[in-house]
Amino acid sequence: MTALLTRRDALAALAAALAVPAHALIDVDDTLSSFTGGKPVAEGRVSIEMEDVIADGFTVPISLKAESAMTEAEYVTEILLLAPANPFGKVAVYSFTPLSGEARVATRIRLAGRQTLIAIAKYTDGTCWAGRKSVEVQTNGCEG
Amino acid sequence: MSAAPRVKIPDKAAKDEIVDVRTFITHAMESGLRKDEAGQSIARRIINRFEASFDGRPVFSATIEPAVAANPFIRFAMRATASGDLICTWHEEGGNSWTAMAHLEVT
Repeated sequence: MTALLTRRDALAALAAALAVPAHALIDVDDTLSSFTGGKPVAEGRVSIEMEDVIADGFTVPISLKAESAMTEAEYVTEILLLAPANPFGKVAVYSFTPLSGEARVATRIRLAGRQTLIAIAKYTDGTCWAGRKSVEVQTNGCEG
Repeated sequence: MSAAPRVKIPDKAAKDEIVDVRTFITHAMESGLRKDEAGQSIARRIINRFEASFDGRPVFSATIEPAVAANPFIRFAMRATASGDLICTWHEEGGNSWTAMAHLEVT
């Protein structure tokens, strides 16, 4: 038990020391506020599913989902995915319609290092909701 | 450089069933951040846009950045409303594009 925790802590510290760039090439806060139009972002409704510890940052499976019935009256229009410690903090913007049926997407991304990913969903009623996920990344997937 | 755009959905679905759409294209998604063995920067070349529509109606789209891994795989959902064709298009920065199609029969 003790040995396992120690090794995990050591790996996490190493990943953090190696991987986070000094500064991102785009401003994550600007990207977020232009996406939301300056509206407040509430926590909840959005989930990010992925491994907690990622050995290979070059190909990281990730699934996003925002809760919605996806009817004509109310649906998720867009989800923005940010990886703030990557060279470009923005990963993608996904757009949905009622024909989507569910506001979900699964893909594979690159991650530079230990960080907290953020997914923000915009709804037709004007509200914005966010989900977060902290991960450790052992191999920088944005270089080499 | 780029090939084999693919889209996979079930052949048949019940009306209003939510079906899974799996898409894939072979592409390096060269970020512009990497260097070759001589230390020279490798030019950026990425797919930056993906669009899916069913009989002309938008279902799902994505604007993607270099943080998306090589050989982009995108899986999303679609509500089966009527029989028709799902058309997916991948756009590369600079103008190239590729298309794939799949037919859905609503029973």
